[in-house]
Amino acid sequence: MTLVRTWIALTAIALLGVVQVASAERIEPPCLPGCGCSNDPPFVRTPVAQRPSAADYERLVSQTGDSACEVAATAVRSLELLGDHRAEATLIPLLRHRACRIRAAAAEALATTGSGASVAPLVGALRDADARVRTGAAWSLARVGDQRAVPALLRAVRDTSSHVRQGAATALGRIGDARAADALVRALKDSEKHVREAAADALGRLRSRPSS
Amino acid sequence: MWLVEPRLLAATAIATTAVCAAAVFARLVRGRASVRHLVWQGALVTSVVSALAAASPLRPSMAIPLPRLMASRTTASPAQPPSGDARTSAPTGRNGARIVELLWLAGFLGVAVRYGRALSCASALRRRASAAGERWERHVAAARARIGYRGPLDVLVSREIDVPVVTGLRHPALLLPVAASEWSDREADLVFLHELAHVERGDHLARAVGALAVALHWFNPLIWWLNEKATTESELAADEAVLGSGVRSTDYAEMLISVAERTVWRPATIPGVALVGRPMLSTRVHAILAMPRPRSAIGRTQRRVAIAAAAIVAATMGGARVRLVDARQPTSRPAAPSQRVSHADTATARTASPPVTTPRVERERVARTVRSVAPRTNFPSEPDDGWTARAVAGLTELLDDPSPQVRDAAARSLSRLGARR
Repeated sequence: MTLVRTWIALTAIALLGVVQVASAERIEPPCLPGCGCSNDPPFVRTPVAQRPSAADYERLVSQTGDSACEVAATAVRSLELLGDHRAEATLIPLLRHRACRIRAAAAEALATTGSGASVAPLVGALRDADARVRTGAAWSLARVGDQRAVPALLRAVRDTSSHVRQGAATALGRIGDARAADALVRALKDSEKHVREAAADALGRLRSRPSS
Repeated sequence: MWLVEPRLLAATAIATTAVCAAAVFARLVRGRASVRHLVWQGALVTSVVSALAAASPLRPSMAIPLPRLMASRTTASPAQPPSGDARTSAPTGRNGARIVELLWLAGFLGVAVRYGRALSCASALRRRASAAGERWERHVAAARARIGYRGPLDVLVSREIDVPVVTGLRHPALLLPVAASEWSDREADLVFLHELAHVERGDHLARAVGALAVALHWFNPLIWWLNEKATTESELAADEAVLGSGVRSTDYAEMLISVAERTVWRPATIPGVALVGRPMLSTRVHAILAMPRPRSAIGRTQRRVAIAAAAIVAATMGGARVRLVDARQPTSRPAAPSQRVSHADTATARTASPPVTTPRVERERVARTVRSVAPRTNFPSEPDDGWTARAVAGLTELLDDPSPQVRDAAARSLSRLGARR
């Protein structure tokens, strides 16, 4: 009897696993042909010391230029986790890196390290061919919250990627410029629920008067 | 098998006719929620009384013509007498009647036991609740004066509910959630006005009548629908009464959204009249904003007269001894009341079908409502290019979104937009 129960439990677990795998959404889309990414496994977030020494920090910065895609991306992620504003100068040029993974990591990292100086590069990244880069740029602009990004974000709300649309709607809400109202009202009818949610939330954050 | 239980058939026919008639009438009085609720409640009372009267031994005879196919089955048996109760026609008929009776009884007991258990839960909840403080007594006294209710009402605080609920049949009690302590005085006033309006209207008793109708007609989906409709209309009628007491529609809609935003939703487990339910939130906000001017509710005497009239008609019709006749047979009674009823049913069924409403038409209706309301209610109080009205329209639509996160976000934003006044 115990054997039967064990068998049933294991079969159920196996079936659940199969269903989970089969229904799982592929989060990371494949790289575009010729983007420059090496065919290495997806990077992982590597924990780093909270306060690295100056030498370690310099080594980390230098690793962002490593020829191995995985090493460079992990270094960018580490800079993001540190949240040090000194990294902004390192990360902005990486938005034009030939490897899309590095560009995406840099765009996301600027959310914690970026300031007003990174707005223009991030706006440029909203036109990147890779959806991950555009998504990262939109979320970073949401964090930076600069009104200069509004026109580009208004375009990004109509992006083909729902993640970009969500990030752009969130960013427009954080900026609070009433020029975004019509675009956000349109986004309320988006087919993706996370976009609708972001647009609904953003509409409540808009200021009544258009910002000058 | 249905032919051998004409009492059930008669009660079902009367209840169905009442629902169709109520649907037609409710469409004619679209503007007034209290009148619509009275119509739905009348139909529910008709359903209950007709079922009870059908079980009475003192029933006059009434003939109901059947369509051809049904009639051919009825008249196929030579053992069937030309008149009288069909139950006594044949042994197979008796067995069928017994089966139908048992089936009906099982369904009735199933629904009744469920409701009885919920009633006992509500009673236990009331016993466990603690008395409300002085602050609430003050608000209740103010609400009593504005609504005009002088009957008994206990005000209690319970840790087991999330929204205010009116419960109890003979002696109603208003149960407040613990989170009520976070309400502002203005919110508390509006909540008590709404709940007192329910109590004054006797909605706690009306829901019990609805539950009884559903138990008696558990096999009839129209009665379940009717009960839902009556529940919705009772909320709208209470809202109407609140607005009739001089409350601004935007203040009231804002309070509903604000309470809904702070509420963790759980399925209702006790019978009672809750302040706000998420599935109805959008409907109510629309209705509140669309109410053109404060209206006075229907008086208690008028309500009682209307319900009594419905009960008398139902008792007369439902108590009639039904005799099934073949529609093909030429009848020598041109003025038979059953035939008049039958023709009326057909006409009612034709007119009761609702017009086809596409989602686009519905969206445009909502947008029109909000646009027409926005300038009057000063919803966007600061000068803008009108985007607030468009945002409110879009967000209000989103309150019906299938995703709870989206609904939450929409409710939050509506609350923020409303709070800018």
